[in-house]
Amino acid sequence: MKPPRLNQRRVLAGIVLLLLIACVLPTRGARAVSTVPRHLLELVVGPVSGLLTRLSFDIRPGHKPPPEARTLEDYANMRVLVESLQQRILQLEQENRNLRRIREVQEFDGFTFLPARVTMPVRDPSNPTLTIDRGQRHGVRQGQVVTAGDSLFGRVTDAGTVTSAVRLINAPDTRLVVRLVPPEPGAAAYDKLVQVQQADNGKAFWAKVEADTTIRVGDLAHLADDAWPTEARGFIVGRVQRIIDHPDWPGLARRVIIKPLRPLGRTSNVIVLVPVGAAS
Amino acid sequence: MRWLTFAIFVYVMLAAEIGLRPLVGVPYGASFVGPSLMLILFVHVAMSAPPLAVAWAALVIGLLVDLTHQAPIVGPAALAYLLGAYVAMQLRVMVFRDSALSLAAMTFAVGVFVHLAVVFLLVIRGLPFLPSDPLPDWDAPGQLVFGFFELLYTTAASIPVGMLLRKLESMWALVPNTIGR
Repeated sequence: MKPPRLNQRRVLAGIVLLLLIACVLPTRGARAVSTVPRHLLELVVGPVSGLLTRLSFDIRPGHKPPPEARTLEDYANMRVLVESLQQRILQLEQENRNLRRIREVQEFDGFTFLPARVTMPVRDPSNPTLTIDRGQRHGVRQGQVVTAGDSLFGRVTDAGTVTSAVRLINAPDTRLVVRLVPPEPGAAAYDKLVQVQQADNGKAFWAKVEADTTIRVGDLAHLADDAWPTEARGFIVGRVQRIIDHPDWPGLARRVIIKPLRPLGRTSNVIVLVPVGAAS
Repeated sequence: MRWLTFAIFVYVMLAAEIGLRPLVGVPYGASFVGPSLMLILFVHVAMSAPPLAVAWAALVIGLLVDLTHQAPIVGPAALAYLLGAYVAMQLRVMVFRDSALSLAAMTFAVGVFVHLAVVFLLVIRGLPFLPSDPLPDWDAPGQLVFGFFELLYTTAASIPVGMLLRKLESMWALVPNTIGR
């Protein structure tokens, strides 16, 4: 008796062959092949993984929250709580000032701020892309700007029906032009624009500036890049953390280390800037 | 092997691997070094299931791993897990199936092959005679370092997770492995 033409081994061998071909497809072709199954998978796994992601960020947030009242046992702990809350108020006041400043230079009349949650955090450090729970059904389209409070967060690279992929601004190939502004209200920005690029494995940015620059630690880096949509300009890329001598041009140039206000990969809630007509 | 049980475990492990990474992972740049629960699940299956079932399980898990990474390429992890299936089937006759340490050792050994195969398949995309193009801003050394740390974490996590999977093994109906079968 002849063995059946189509058995499991042959099917497996066929699939292996297809996968080998898929491995060497050009990126555009590979994207076309993987987009639909990826969105389907996000649709199926997203609700549970999103729930667990939120739980994870609640238990272990990216920035230190004030201690929970229930953990306080004595007066000393209460004072810590009060101090941390005061610190938080100062942070929020600063964030409010930053947002007002962005508002002064930026018109958002044509945009809706669409809140979104992270359902799949960054998995690959060389490709810092995450998934949010908003997609085309909510008006999200490829190229739209994503922010987190007053900070620039990234751009939508792929919009599915109900989920979207967001590439963070600290991707290795990112070059951003920023304007450095002192944090004090009403302070004038420095004249020159500065190009920053990723450093320290995505945790910070660096920029080369002239040695006689008046830039100080604590200055805020606002996006001023023509390559980005106008609505993104003004959002904060980070804060100047250190200014050191440039290793290649000692005495002539300095290196400015800029750190994002919040760890980008550890943010659970973001906002997508969606044009008014597109929002559902 | 009961495929429905496999599907439920895959779903739970995949959601947990993605969702709990910010909680249990060690920050590494913009991402986290966390345990690969899918690799542990695969090794658990590979230690006991019939060869063809191991191959299908490798294919399913590998494809899911490919799709959950944001690189648009489908195939490297699926093929790497198939290689891992072959390695696991060569090694499984040499270990005590019931030991959690065996699972940890197998996870490390299989994981090395899986990570190396994924990096290899993504590196060859840059060869000039292939139609593919190299992935933008993807670097092999960085990926190997990240993969190594992830593998160490996965190996450590495989002991408690493996014990849990062993407790639930009655749900799987896995065929016990015997030499010469």
